[in-house]
Amino acid sequence: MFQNNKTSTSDPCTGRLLEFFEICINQLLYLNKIYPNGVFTKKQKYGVPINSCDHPLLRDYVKKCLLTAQDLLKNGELSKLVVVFISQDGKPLRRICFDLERVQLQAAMCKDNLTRLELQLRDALLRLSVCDRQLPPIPEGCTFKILLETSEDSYLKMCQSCSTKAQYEFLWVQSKERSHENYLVPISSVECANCDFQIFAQEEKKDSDMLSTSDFPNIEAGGSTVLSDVSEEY
Amino acid sequence: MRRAKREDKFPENGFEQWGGYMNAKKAKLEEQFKAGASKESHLQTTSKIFSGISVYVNGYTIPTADEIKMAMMLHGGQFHQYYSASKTRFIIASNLADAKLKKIKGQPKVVKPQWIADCVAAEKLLDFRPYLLYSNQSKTQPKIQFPQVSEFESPVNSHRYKKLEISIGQTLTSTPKVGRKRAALDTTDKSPFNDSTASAISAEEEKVMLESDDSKSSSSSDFNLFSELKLNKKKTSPFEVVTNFPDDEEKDPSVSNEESDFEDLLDCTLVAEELRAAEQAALKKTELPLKETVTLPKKETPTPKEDNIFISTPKVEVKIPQSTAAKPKETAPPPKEPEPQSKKAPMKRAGEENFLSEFYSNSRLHHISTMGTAFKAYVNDLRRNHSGDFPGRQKLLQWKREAGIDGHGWSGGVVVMHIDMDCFFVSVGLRAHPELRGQPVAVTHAKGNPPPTANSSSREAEFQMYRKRMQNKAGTSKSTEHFAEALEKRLSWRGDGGEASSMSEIASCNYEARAAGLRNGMFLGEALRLCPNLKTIAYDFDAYKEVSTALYDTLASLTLDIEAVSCDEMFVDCTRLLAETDTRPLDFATFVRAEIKKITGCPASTGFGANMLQARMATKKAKPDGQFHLLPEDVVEFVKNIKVSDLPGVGRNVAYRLQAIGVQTCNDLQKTSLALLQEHFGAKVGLSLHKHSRGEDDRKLELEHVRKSVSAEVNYGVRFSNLAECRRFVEELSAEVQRRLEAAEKQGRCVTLKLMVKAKDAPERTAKFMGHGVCDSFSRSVTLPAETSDAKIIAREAMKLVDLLGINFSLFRGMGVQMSKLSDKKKADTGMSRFLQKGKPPSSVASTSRAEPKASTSRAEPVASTSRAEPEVLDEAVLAELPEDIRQEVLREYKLARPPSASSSKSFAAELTMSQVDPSFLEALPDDLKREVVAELQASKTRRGDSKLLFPALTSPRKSKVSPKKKKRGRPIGGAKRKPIIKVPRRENSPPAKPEVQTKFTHQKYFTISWSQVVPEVKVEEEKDEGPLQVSMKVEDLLPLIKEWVKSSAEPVEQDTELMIQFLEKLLLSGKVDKIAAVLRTLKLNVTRKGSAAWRGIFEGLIEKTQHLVFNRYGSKLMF
Repeated sequence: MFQNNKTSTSDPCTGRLLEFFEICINQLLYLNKIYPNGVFTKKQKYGVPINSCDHPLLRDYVKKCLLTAQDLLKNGELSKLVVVFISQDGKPLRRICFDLERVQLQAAMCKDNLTRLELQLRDALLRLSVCDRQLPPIPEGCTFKILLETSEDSYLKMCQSCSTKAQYEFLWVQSKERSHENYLVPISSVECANCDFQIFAQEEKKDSDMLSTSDFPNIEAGGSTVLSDVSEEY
Repeated sequence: MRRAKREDKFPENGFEQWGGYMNAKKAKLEEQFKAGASKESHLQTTSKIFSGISVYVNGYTIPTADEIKMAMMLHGGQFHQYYSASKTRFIIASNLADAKLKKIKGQPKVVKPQWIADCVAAEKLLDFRPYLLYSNQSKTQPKIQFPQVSEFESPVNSHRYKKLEISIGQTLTSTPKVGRKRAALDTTDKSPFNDSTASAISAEEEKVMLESDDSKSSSSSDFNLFSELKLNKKKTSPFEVVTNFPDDEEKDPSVSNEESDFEDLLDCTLVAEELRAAEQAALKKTELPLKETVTLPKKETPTPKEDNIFISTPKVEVKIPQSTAAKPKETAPPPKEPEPQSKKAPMKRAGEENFLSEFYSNSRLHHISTMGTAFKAYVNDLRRNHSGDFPGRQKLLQWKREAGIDGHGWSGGVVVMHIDMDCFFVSVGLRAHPELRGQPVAVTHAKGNPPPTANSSSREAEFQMYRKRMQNKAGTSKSTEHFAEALEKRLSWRGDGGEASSMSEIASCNYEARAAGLRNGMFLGEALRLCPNLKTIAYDFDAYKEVSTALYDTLASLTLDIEAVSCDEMFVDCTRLLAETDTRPLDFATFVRAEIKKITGCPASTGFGANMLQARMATKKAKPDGQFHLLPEDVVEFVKNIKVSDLPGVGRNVAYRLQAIGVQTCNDLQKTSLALLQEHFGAKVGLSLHKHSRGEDDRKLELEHVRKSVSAEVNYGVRFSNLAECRRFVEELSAEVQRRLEAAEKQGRCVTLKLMVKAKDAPERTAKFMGHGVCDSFSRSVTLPAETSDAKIIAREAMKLVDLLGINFSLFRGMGVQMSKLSDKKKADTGMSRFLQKGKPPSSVASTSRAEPKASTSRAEPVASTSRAEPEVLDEAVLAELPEDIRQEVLREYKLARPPSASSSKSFAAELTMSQVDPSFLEALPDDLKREVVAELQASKTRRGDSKLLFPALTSPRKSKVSPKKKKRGRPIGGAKRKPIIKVPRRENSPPAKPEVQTKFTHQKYFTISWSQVVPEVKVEEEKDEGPLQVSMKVEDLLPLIKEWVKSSAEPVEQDTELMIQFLEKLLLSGKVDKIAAVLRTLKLNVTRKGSAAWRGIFEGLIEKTQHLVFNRYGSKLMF
């Protein structure tokens, strides 16, 4: 698990969050049946049964993403972490979004709060594990991507400082505001001191009485955000 | 999302109507079996002895599965080809692998195939119990009290219980019979169950039979003699038996080789032993004389106890000096501490009345551990109350003068002394028994009373599990054998019943005993085997305390740089002392040891070194009764020969893992690189190992002992039969914790529950009577919002944790409650809590109204919110007790809370209204304004009565409210909507000259009051005038507000709607989409229910607006 990676995470709160993300990503892959159930092994975290995929390639991919996320998260510059499920013909069907805009981890967390945070994470994980009640199953053969969202400023900053860190070079692209018909389904939230975030799904509208959603109409709505498009698929 | 259903995996195969293929197959097999049975019955004689018995054969058996099947067919039984947890009652197997055992579901009996054969031979259904392959019955435990339903309801049972009346002498005679019977299948009438009238005649017959049997076996002679002896015993006088006895043993030193035979025998005696529970009465009778016979002639001895002695022949000699020995002088007096096993009253279980107090008066560990902490506190006290002069130093100087010793040659430097009494318990005990000096002596609880025999398999299983777990821990299989050997030493010995299997641990043994290979912590049974003439003495806690106190006083009279370790061990920083008195360490040691010996009569050993580690190692070398100074230049060489397991912080686990990487001595450890150590053991442990192996140790003497936690833990005798018992036990533990907290003048914030739960495959009966056996440990903790030492709160939290774990209480084998995050309990706190107690009623009202403070665990702790609650009356006495600053604060609070009612009339209605006003706001106003506001409020209240207001729901209940508890519930809600209400009358009536009062008033409202009072812990940065709806509120708290809002008025008030929109906006700004969704959902539900067009219109507008906002922000519509 991610937290074992002690050398890279000094702050316990960041460590817990990243570990949580890792678990969530694995759990989402399992729930959405992106891979056959056989590649998952059952584990426990916070006393909650979870499924984690042991495939080295996948682990590596998730780890790389999360290491990038970690750098951003430390500075409070990660605004979103999104897991997108994409249909065979390339349409994004579902985005599970961790809205991290209000997470500020610079201040160290006291022990009590850490315990509280863990409780909340546990809660969120439980809710995430049953979110298939709210969300219909997605068709078979889908793939997924992990997207990280940050501001242009921090992207530039990262470009300058990260030049040496070639290890997780991902392609960063300008994000497009997608504004066609989709629904936001809140899944759960974590509210604990300065660690305060939401998890929600953005779901394509099923009955497409509207124009086909092969391409998104672009509406630049203010904030220029940079989106990392991680397009490794398995 | 989960679509794969079971059916998908099993495509249609045409067997659906029989419940699937396997079920159909099973049914068919059963039918075939029945058909076969009826067919067979024509050909051969049949019986119904197995009627109702269903068996499943697992693995290779003799007789074979086919034969068993045939037997079942012929004798009315059922034979299952496939095991079914619900149907199959017996599994027939001659050997079951662990893996197979684990797989077995349900509670079948695993029986040896011989049972079937014997049953057929006997032409009746025999009790299966002697044939159990694995049973849950432990050998050493009497079966007491546990409500166990006898599952086997065959008529045989009644036989067995009849046997209760048989004297045990008869049981004795019947036991060998059973043992033989297994070998001799042809015997028909040999079951112990049917010949309840075993007589001398039958015994004679049996003797003949036994002889014939035994002649076949090579080692027959001993057994023959042995059994003959037993038979003799019954016929001849008991006296003879005993006198014969030693001879018998001398003749047959090989008896121990007969163990397998004996084991068989034991298995059978088990049948008799199983009856112990019912036989308690008989047992007690026999125990009584046993104890009294210490001085009596031997002929009194052949009580039923003897059957154990016979069985464990090789060990009898050991037994004799203890219970029935000829030399009464040498025997120790009976222990003062009542021993559970020998108690007349049955052993208490956890959860029963007084269990804990009894446990604590018996538990050895408890005494020793409390002594350790007690002395830490004692040293603290000494230091605190010290006058500054050390009388001991005068003595030391005088002694030096007399002995003509000077400090010549001592250069100073840091010297740490470690002083440790030599086999403390024994040497203290020997003060009372000088006659035992020079003999091997051990201190133990058990008096060597023979525990009942029981079958060995469950104990075996338990040891197996320990072994397996140990190996699992090691991870690598390489060199595990090495360690396993050591482990084996402890575990390998499994007594075959009898006293020698005593699982009572030896707390301490002297050097004479150690020479025979005994070690502390060894089980008495094994100890007796190694050292048959071992004398045991009982604990004498008073004496320990006396000697320990003397030891500490002696050292404290010399210096106070002492770190107490335990009752007989401490570290002393002698640097200053030696410098000031100009003494060499070894001279000092001579002096101190002489002093201690003079005062206590017990030998002590001392070691000196430059740090704690070196001092400790030096003591090891110095023992027994010696002294040693480990000089800095010798350290490296010295350390090389130290075993790693002797290093501090290296327990069984670490030692085991060290073995796995090939490290046994510090020399090996020195050669191991730091990196490797850190890789294996983590940064911290690795580093300390690295340093310790070089004799380095940076620990400082912990002179000022600070308690980190207080706990009470019991893992003996924990068997709950219902939840109430469990709860009561938790309460008892908590009460104990409270007592200890109070004794230490502490209170804690973190409650930890520790549970030991029977491991999944551990045998039901533990090897040690009422012990915990193989367990998994769990611990859960919860942090309370405020310190407490209240047993009730602790118990409640602990019980919650128990519930949270969701483990069946019947599996609990140990339980502990611990308080940590301790802080000093000041005197003032008691006053404060009393004060808070007074203030409690309003506070509980407050917290019912909603929203506990953010801390999720706060439900347990009303205290936090209490502090802001309005106390009805201020207790002057309590106030006086408080420290100045707290008193000021209380007074301030009090003033804030009180002024309205203080100034206004005491009328009920007025008070109610006043309580809704933010007192801080009122306080801020100039006096005249304040009066006016008060008057205004009262006026508005009366007005509210007659003018039709928008919130009838709020006004009417308020009037009828007699109990303030209910009242507050609706208040904040009403408050939220009331904003316009008050505003309206105000506009009409209040003088326009004071607009600022008005606005402020409407803004602050009593929402603020209730919020600030109810939720004092809400984050400070939140603006107070936000109204009742706060972003930080929990969903559960929000929803009732909204519900009430829709419910309370026929039409929505515009302000309220605006408020709601603002609130939703705020929620959105802080990204709380889940809350928005929840709010909208609730609104929708309530509005739909209401069916009012106006509401619906408002609601739709609201939705539209919100969706717009959400869309702008997230690019999607909110689904709710």
